[in-house]
Amino acid sequence: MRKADRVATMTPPVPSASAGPPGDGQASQRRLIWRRFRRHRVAMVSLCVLAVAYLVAILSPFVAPSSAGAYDADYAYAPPQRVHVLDDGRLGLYVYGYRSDTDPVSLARTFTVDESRKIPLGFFVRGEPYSLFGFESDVHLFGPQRVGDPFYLTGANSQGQDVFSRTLHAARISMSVGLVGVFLSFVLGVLIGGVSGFFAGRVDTVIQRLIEFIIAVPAIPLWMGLSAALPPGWSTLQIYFGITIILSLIGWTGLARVVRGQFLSLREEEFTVAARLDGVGRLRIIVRHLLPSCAGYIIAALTLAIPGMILGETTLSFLGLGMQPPAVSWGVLLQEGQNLRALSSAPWLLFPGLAVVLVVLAFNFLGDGLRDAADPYER
Amino acid sequence: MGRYVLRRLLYLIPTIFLISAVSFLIIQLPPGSYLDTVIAEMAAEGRVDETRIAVLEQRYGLDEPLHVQYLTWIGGMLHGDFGESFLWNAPVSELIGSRLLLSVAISLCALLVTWMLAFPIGIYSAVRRYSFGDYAFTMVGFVGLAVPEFLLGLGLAYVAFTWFGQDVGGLFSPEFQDSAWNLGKVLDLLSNVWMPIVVVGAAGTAALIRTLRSTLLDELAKPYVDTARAKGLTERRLLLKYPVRMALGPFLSTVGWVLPALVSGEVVVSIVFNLPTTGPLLLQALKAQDMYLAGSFIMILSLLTVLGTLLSDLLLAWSDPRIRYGNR
Amino acid sequence: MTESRRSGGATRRDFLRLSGAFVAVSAGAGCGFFSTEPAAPQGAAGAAKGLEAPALAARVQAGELPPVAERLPKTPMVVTPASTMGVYGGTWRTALTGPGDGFWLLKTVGYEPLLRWDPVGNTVVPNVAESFEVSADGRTVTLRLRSGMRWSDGEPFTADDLAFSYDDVLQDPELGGGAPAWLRAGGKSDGEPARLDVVDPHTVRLVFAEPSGQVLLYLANTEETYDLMRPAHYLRQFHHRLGGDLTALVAQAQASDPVDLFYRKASSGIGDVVHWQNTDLPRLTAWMPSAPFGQGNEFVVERNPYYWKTDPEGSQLPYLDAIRYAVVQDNQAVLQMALNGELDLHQRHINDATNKPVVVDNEARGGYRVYSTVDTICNSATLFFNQGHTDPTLRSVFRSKDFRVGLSLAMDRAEISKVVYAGQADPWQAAPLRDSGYYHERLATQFTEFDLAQAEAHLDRAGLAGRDAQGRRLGPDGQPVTFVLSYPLGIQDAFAAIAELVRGQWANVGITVEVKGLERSFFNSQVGAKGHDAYIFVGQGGGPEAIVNPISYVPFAPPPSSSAGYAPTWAEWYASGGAEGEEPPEPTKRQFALLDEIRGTVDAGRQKELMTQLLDIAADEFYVIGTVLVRPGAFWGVVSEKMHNLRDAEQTVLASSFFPSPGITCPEQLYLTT
Repeated sequence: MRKADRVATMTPPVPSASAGPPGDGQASQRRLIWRRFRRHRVAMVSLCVLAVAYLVAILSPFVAPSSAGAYDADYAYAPPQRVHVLDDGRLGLYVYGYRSDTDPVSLARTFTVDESRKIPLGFFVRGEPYSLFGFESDVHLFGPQRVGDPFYLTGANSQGQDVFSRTLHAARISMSVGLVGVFLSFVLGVLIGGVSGFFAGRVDTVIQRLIEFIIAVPAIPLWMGLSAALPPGWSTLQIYFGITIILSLIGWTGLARVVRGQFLSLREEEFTVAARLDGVGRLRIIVRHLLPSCAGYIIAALTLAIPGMILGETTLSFLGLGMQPPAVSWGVLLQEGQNLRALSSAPWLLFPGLAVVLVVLAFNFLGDGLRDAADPYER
Repeated sequence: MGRYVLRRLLYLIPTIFLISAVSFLIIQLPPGSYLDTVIAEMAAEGRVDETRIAVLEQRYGLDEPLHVQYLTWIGGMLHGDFGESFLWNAPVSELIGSRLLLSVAISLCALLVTWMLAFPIGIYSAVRRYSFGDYAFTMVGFVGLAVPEFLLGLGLAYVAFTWFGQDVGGLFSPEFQDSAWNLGKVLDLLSNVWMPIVVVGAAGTAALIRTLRSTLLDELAKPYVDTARAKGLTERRLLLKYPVRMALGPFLSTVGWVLPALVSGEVVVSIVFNLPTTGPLLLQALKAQDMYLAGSFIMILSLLTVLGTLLSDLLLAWSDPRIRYGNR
Repeated sequence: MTESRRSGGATRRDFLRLSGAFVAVSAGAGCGFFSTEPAAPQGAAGAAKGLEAPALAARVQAGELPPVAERLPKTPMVVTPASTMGVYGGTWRTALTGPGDGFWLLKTVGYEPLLRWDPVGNTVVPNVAESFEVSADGRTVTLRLRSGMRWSDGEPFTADDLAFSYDDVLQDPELGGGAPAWLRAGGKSDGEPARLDVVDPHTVRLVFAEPSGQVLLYLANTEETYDLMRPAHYLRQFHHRLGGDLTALVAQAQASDPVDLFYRKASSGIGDVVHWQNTDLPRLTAWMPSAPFGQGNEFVVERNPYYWKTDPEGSQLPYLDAIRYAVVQDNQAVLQMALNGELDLHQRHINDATNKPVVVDNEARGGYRVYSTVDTICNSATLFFNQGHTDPTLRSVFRSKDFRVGLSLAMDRAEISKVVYAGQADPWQAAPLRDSGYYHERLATQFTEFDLAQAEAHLDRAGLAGRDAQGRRLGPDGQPVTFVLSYPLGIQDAFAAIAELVRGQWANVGITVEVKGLERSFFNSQVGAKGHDAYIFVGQGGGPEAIVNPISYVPFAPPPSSSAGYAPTWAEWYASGGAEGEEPPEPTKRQFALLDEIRGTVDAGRQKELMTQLLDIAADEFYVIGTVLVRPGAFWGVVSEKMHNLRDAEQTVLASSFFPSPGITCPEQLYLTT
């Protein structure tokens, strides 16, 4: 065995994809994978959940009843409202208002349901103005029919902000951190892993040492160190990208190893040799032949990397090293809920945690399904 | 094999130097220094004592150029001196040492629990694929993976506090804090320490189950399994002899990283449960820009990771003849 | 171990013996390994009271200590308990969040200055010094020390200690920073340092070339007077001039040089962690560390056998055997301890309005009660604009009084109070409190009304009448006026909420700001470098200390003292005697002159008159914008039902850096019952 291949076997054994490049006359690899994937029901459901989640994130100003910054101190720590569907026997959405009382000693607010005050809800109601893709509008998917009525589907925080709306708005940052981070990992991982696997030899050795080195710096302290090192003078947007880059810095190495392993085995496959004998350039071989062959694996690996980044963002916020308000991300929102004060009197502040769990779960199922689908041994 | 080990050991030397440089760089990245932390502390109290600041600046040698500070640090490290923590005014080795035992104990317990749960479940899930049990474990495993550690910790703490009236946080309930060791104290310790262990173990167990299941499935689909079955091997022998052994590959390739994990003291969980492990020490050091403590800490963890990787690769080579023979 | 514990144990043993020989002997006194009951804690409270703590009496019996009469000074300081005579014993349980938390040590054990504030913060009374006297011309301050008073190691505390501290440490060119302004002629930083004369072993005289007006106030301050009360007999051996050849000692202590050695032994102050690590360092405080700070998860200070105070019955104080500080990770852990009832007395980390509901809710369960404190701040969240900004446009905008008045009028303080402080705060500028003795109505109340029309008019007058298409006001350079409003993280959660509210309120009048929370150390280094635009911080100097620290009313101290960040260049000018910084306008210069006069005036009535004039100018200049002032009760502490004599029944507890609370309430007379 040649030297390069020796190192290759040191990585976790990855089942090699024996399928050839997309050929004529038979189903392409992509279609085969898709066919297998569709059989994976939980993964299909997850795909739908994620599609909806991203749609909501993108359209959050329209979907959320109120803006991320809107507050009403009268409803600080207001508990969630129950939505009533039947109004005097007829169909009609409404919630009840609140009556509140402040304890003079403990300064605690207590809320009781005010049944004398009905707050009718509706779809496509007018509310706070917002701008989305350059369009100005004030129509919200749903909300109270009268502007300014209290509507707290999942309760309010210390400033009387709507936790539900904020959770939707926060999805924009939190869910894109995963995507952007994975994209960065993908570029780095595929590029470096691909180069390593394709050229093998000395290049491979150097890159492998580099990857080993990066892996050697332990993840959480590295995250912590790097986030602590983000210049505090940075704007919110810069901090956002900084954190994303930090999260992806760890992710790409694993991906690079997967890609390299794939390339090393594919390099010896007949179709690669054939292409080389045909005088096809190396880059073209990588892009045209090798990449499509292991695309399934890469996509699965990518999908499974996203949850780590979403969780990473919340963890950094928990440690006080992530994004800071006024940025709105799930990590930032959970910061409000991660103390005993919140747990004992306003557990609904942990609602964004549900969103995190849901999305992460969906990504894991999706990734699992994709991996199974991309597995050529799956019959 | 011997030459391979030697070569890997030689690689360690430049890696360690690179790591030390990166560790130092990380702690130098944020603007300001430990003195700013001291000033901030004083300002929060409303008075800044400038005489004291001048004394501290001189004492810590923070006015020296960066490369001098680095050389001093790395020089000391060669003699086993990890420097002194500004914050604690104590040697770094002593600080980490005093918290190491508990860190290792908790991580080790969590690890054992993880392995004890994950191996049988992982194998079961793969063999009885798509059975009810597989679905149930998969579901639980995925949820375990999806819940952020701190949320799980806070949730457990809250439930224990409000529903069971248990004192949460720390290692002992207050009434046992000063007590001499007796059965009550041991029970009390256990009643406090199970929560962090569960939280630390949860995500790890779920991940390990997933890995085992998928690699084992890959192995089971391979032709040699059919061959073995055709030869009349019992299912149990068939399973344990090769597929399980092969499926351990990915596990073995990361098992070495247990080494740094034992020492890093589970930052998040330790903070949630207020455990005096090494993790919060590092977080505090990073935030306060306590450079020698933070730097040496990252350095130690990195070293352990490198050693752990080496250990993993050796284990892998030992378990997989293909690698062993390939390196002859 | 106390007497009661022993007798209690004996009774239990007797009982066991009586109850028959069947009982397994291994059960012992209920402390056997198989017992699941907590073994009796150390120092259980409830001992019968004598002239000294039972544990010390035992040590006297054993010949380890001289009798209590010999340990006390001839005239001990008599502390009248807040409500009842106490009993000896018990451990006060509290918490620290790490080595950077030294201020809580200072506030609990460390408050032992030469003179002290009376427990309600009205007047300065004797403490370490038995009496004090200021000469008619104000040039001489005579301090009489207690004859027979001893350091915690039994060595006499004499005038020699003061002379050593002042002449050989503070004024030593290598060790100290020189005499502080209050120990100089006229109370000025460039004045001639006072002379410290040792009249006899128990009398010292501070002689000034010109009177220093605030010397008594400073002598009642722990950190300031600690610099005058270092133990000479112990520290001389580490002194670079007096200690002989220090090479061996330097090496032994792993110090870099003799100066480093000295501070490793002496500590740079009470807030310095070294002070709590060197257990050899003799002290005057009621408790002293038994093991160095940093070992394990707790830090314990134990009774000082040579403490020099007694109760009216002549029993040596303190009543409590020890204070145990659990060293925890963060404020949440402290909160958890409070709810669990694991804090006997605590007023730090968690004592804001946010946590109050959950702590009050758990009073019965935790066996504690919540008491109110009054923080002597002048404003809960003050907005500071950098009037010494390097950017000429922002500088000129920030310097316009109309700009600041306009922004102040544009703020809806009622909303801030409601959203951030649950309605428990009132509109207030940065001004002395009503009961402080320096209340200035105009300064406190001007421009606190919410009046958008007036606000717009003022901003127009400030030269910001022009607007762009989005309605943003244009500055003198034709660009929209925008700046960063920062605040330090981890001091108060309220800052973030206030910043957000203010951002919205100012947007209504066409001023756009970017809100940014900064890590504390970075925040301070930015302010120190004058690189900030505007920031939010607590306004200091609201209580009687306003005259000592009028930082919110006159910019006399340059950064890093963070409160003077509104006019750093003028502060530099003043602090350097005109050599650096930037010459301030006339009214500010007049304030500086008034400040100098106050510092050189001994007569309290005259000081007050001058202070009023200084505040008049502050009101005219309107340097900073105040938001609101929280009502008493927004800040609080927890005290266990078992802890007695906390002086809060008739008087709320004052708290600030000048009134280190609970130190100011005499913790030595606190006691615990079971």
